[in-house]
Amino acid sequence: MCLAVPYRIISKEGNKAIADVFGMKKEIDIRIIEDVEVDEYVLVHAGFAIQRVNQGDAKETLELLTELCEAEE
Amino acid sequence: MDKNTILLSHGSGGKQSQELLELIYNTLNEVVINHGEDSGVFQAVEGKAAITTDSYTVDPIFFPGGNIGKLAICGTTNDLAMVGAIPKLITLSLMIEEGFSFDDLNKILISIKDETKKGNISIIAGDTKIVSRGKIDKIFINTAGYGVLATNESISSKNAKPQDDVIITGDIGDHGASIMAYRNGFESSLISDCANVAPLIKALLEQGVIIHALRDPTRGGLASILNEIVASSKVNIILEEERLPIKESVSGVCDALGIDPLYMACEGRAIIICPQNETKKVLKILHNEPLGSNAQVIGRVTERSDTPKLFLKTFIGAKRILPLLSREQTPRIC
Amino acid sequence: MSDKFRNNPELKPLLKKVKNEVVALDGKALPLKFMEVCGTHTVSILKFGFRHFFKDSIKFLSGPGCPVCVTSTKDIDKIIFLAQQGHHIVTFGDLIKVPGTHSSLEKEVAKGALVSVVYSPLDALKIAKITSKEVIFIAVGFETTIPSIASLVLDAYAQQINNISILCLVKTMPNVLKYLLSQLQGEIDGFIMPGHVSVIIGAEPYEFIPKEYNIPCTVAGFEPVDLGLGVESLVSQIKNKNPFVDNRYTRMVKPEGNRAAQELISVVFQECDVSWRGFGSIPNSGLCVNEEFKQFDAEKKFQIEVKDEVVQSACICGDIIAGKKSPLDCTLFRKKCTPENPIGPCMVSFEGACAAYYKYGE
Repeated sequence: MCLAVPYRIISKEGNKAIADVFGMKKEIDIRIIEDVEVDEYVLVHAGFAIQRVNQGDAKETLELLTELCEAEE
Repeated sequence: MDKNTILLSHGSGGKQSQELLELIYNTLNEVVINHGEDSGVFQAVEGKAAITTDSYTVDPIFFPGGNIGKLAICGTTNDLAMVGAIPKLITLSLMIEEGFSFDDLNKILISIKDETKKGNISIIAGDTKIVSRGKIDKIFINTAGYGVLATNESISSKNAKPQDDVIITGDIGDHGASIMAYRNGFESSLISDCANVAPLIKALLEQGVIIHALRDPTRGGLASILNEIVASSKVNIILEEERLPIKESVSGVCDALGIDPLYMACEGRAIIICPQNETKKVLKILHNEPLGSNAQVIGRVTERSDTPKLFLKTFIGAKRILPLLSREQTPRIC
Repeated sequence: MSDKFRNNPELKPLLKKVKNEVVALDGKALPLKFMEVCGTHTVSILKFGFRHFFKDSIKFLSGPGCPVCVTSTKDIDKIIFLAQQGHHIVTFGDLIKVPGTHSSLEKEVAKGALVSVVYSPLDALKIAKITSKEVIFIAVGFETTIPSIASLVLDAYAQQINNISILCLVKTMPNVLKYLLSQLQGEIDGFIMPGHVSVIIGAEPYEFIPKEYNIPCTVAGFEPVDLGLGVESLVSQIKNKNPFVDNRYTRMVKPEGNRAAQELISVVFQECDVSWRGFGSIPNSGLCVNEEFKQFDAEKKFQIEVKDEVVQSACICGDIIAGKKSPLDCTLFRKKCTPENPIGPCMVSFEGACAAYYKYGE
């Protein structure tokens, strides 16, 4: 019900932005993401950005994986 | 009257028809034989020959990396190559909608000429029909292809044997994904892989490689065609997800649209199923060819089965079925 | 970065550990039953092989997370009615083949109906600008999709486009979960919460699940690493006998969700009671168009005449969505009901449990 993937912002104008997903560019709507910056990653569903991707949290999630993997059973 | 537009009268047999035919023959001149006759006459060769036929109705007719003309020639040569035949002759039947532009027709004809010339084949017969507006969508092309078999071995979808390797000659899903991207407003450098793979197969057969089955993963993609092979040969096949060559941009657009690259058409690839002891030789020959530089083993034929299935071993090492889908994929929100 | 969430060498060892932990659990009947309520989770779990990997230790149940599957036959009939009236129907691809009482959009297209499949609701506005026909966008989806549908209405209003409306069939998550739990208490060992719905509504709305029902919850994303961490969280909560709402999708989900999205939704929509296939009417489980935007509400703009639902007694899609039955319990499954000839939405939808069982085997 919720197919969404991260896109990178290339340029923006008003409510719209051109964003990139692995070399494919598309116009998306960014009105509900406050102060979006170029080069930021946003989560896009049906052509609409629904959240900015928090890179710090992404890193922490991968670190959690490592921690759980290495923990004693 | 718009001089750039094809009218019904261009198909009626009179002076305007002659003008249209002149354009067609002028563009295709180098590759047409038996011009001006009702039938094409040629010297049949000894030994086995192959004939194929196909109709092309792709929409959009111009897509990144090609057009319907290029697709028609490559699709025909590839069908011949898949039974081990060297393509020699092709027929070309054009059905054009009233109102189609001469410029677009010319672009398509130039592509047809280029691919025919590159493939060392000739157009031996042709036909043109103009159809009333709305009764056909822009342009449809029908071809028949004739080729001479380069091997006495039986290459067939029924021939895949347990322990055979499954090889793909290049990246998966480029054509289908590029069309989906284009249709859904993505701007990209992703282009169709539309190409004639007959030279690849010729190179393999000339070196005496044993091949059990050959198919090009066109409509329905890799997973659909492999499902046909498992059903025909009554064997199970297992693919390894880690070994599938898929471009990042193809993955990206498929993720964004909710479609599966394994079901996206490839128009310039071949699936080669061969005994394991031929694999090294096959890969060496393919890697020497421009179209085969990214060829790799992607799976194996496992055992005979009365309820044959295609499996995928996923990244986490689990096994799942790759089914035959009953429908074309459309973009999803779910 | 995203490839690290997909093909990560640390995932397999973690999953093996989790499997061992499940087997070693004290006093728990196996397999554990984890329910997910998101069609994208249904597909990801199958696609990446989790179902097979955890075969005897964890059973993954599909809840009411496929918006196509939970759309009632009567609502599908409304769509068909509007198509037959000659309006230009604009829809997501998911809906094309869903059968109503007598027909489907696919069948209506073959009879000449005007239907366009779009990637984004905002594409409907582009279509409305180049046609004189009434463009009706079929608004299905959950909270993930609702902000974009709200934007469609707001843009139509701002640009004074009058030949457009939406058939509002959207549904919302928390209250259907409340209803589900009131029917299924004790039968679910853990919930995998929908990652992208949670992006909008946050993790807070699920607090009632561990508090009132003592059932572990995890908010999970959709890549293999996300699913793995989600499953690990649930098993860990069961082991520690300490259920709570664990957010394992922090890079996208904030506890309070996306406030701007929530405000946008409330400008255009309000909560109302809507009908779910298999459940009937659930209070405050859907949205209706606010009065000030009623000119964009197809139900107010047009007189939609459809008969009340005649329940196909043999189709148990409703029970399947509710997690009560599996497709294997259905007398029509694989016999009369197949992907080529689907009887209910659970078979039509790519993410429906029946389609998934049929294709991927069980």
